[in-house]
Amino acid sequence: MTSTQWAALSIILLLVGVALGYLFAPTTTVTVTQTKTVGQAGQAGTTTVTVTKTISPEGKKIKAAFIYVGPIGDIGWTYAHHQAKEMVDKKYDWLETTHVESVAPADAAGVIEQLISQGYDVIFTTSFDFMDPTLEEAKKHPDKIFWHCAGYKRAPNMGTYFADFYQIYYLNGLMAGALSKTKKIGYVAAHLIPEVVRHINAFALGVKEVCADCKVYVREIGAWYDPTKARQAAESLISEGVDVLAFTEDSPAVVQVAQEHYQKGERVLAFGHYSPMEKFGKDVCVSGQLVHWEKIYDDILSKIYAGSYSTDNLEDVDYWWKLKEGSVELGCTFNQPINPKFVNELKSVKVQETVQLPNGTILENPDVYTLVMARLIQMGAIWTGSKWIYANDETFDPFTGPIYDNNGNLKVLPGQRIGHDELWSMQWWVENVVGPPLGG
Amino acid sequence: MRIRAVRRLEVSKRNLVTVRILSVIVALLTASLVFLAYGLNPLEVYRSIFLNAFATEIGLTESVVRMIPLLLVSSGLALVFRTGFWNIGAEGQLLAGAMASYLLAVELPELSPLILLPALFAVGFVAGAIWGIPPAVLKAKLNVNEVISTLMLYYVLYWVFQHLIHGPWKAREKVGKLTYGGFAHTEVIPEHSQLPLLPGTRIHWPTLIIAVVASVLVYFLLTRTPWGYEMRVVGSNPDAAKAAGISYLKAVTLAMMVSGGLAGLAGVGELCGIQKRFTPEFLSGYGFSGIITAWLGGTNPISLIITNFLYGGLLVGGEYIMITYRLPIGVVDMFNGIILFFVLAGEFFIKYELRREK
Repeated sequence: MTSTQWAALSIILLLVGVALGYLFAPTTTVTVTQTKTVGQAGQAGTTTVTVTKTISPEGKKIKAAFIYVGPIGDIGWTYAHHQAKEMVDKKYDWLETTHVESVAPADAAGVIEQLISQGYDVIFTTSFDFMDPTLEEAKKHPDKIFWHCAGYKRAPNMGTYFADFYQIYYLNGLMAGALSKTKKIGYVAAHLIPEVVRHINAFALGVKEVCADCKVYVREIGAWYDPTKARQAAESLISEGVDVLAFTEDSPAVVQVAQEHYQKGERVLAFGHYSPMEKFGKDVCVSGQLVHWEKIYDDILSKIYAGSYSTDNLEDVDYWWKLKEGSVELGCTFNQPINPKFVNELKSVKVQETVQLPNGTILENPDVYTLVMARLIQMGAIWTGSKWIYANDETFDPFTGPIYDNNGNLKVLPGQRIGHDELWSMQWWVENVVGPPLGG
Repeated sequence: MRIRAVRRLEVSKRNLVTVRILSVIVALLTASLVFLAYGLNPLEVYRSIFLNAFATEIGLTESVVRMIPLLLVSSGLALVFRTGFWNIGAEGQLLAGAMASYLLAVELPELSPLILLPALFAVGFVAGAIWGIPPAVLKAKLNVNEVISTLMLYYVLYWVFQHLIHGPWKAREKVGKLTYGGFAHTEVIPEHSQLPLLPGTRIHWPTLIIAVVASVLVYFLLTRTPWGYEMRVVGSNPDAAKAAGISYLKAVTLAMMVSGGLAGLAGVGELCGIQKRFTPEFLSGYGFSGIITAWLGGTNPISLIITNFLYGGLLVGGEYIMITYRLPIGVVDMFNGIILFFVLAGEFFIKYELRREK
């Protein structure tokens, strides 16, 4: 099967290609130096500012590219980033975007090189595993702007961002604790990395607040997207008596399992994850976690356009956005924090505690529905009954001590909060979690 | 009247070239339908894919980056396929090589690169070779189907690997004043264990040189040595080989050691040259793609190098289609699939001719 012809043919094709390449080479952009004289209000005299920029004939435009780890059709992580990207793209006419899906970490740097060679000057890499290649490319191209999602490495031209769910998981936990009859609650986890551990712990703290003797049982499936394994894990938890399920996995499989059990006359409830999953479990999806990456993308890109973010001031820029910024939302579908089917049941369960709202109102022994709404207000997202309003302060955090780990050690002193850095490397379970051992 | 495929007694060079050109043209015509369906001019798409993958600096160097592991894997596979043994588990052998070099890389102190780099490649080769031996022995002694055993050994190692990076090999990484632990990735291998790159590119040139040399050595081994002769006889006529006293076990085990070892070298290159640490998504399928390029390229080193380079270009071109035309990954995979399908199908017409019978 060997042949020098095959070789010769390919070389000829190659040469033809190279020739064509030079023939049809794209036109380059123009670099101009502008000298502006700027008068300052209320000041005598003027300042002269010299700006050198590369402009395309149409005027100032930002070309932003998004690198996705999965396929857009995953109905989970990548889908949510893509929806957000499309929204921001439509909103601004100065913005041009593109995306590359299903990129392996090994190819990320190569894809970034291609994007840069095609004139993209803002690169978003939307997976933790792209951290090192993104940093490498940021160092190699100091004149481009990079944003990495979910990581912890930054550079003067590389910022980080993340929309965190832990407050939402806590609120879901409050509801789970009220709705479980068996006092066994299940959690199907993708990978037990600090982010997921933090979410499970927040969920378990919510459960414990409402139901002191409820336990949260954790199953790790070892994949971000694996509907088959998620389904198996959910079934195995149900067979052990679990009647409420929450999860981290990029498919609606767990919600579907709950719905199937419901249709067989066995009440199993679930919380949706990442995208609206109500249609997969209309009778069982109580609430869940929803994301609005567009809030973050909008903020970042507008600030780049306005010039406040550039290639030399991102070293300390880390978006860690939660409820009060509107980057995450409580609910199994948008604009409905709690499925109306469960509101009455939640209103019938009272919690023995006192809650003080930011405006001074004191709630004595609220029911769980009222408690959830009160906690939302305390965390800066107010549900008016038809829309969300945001306040810029937090007067409550789920990770406030005393918190014990599941070996009985006091991890957080009474009244203290766990800080960002500790939440970002969390490797222990709160007391009511039954989960696999975590390596330090 | 019916049509019958008859094996050609002699493959003419003219036929070879005509069939290959025709299959590429038919493939491009078929794939055009997909681009037309998306409202794109196929000629424009092809022109830009081609220009980007082979006529720009980024495209060329990235195609070479993808070619390096493919060439190593497919050189070994082309050899072992000649013995009639179907090694489907090169991905596992690649992983074995990468894991062994990781263990060495994080342990070794800073030595001269003249000692360090050969040592990394040596352990990678040995580990890949060891992971390749059991299927050969099982087939020779117990007649265990090698398609199953090679593939299953890949899965075994894959899950061991996943366990290690989610557990014992998990890194604690210091960034500034903070230490981050618990994430599913390993330590970054120390700088002195990382392979040198051609300036401005991602081409880890030591692996590139090794890959080219390996493809030549495989050809030499197969055509100029008694071991190669035995491998060819075992592959073309096992009964005759047995009658002539050629050991099937020896021939196939040797071929699998070379094949596994070369895949292991590809793993060393991917870890120490490209990724520098393990993440859950370390593998990107070179061990499987290498099966196709080995089949297309055969054992001739020139044809292997070109086939793998073009395949690398196809991968880079796929990314280009996504970036420029914002086409979904499904279309890109379909495009690559159509090209490979027709090129592979064309091989049939090189070996067989169709005759009409009454």
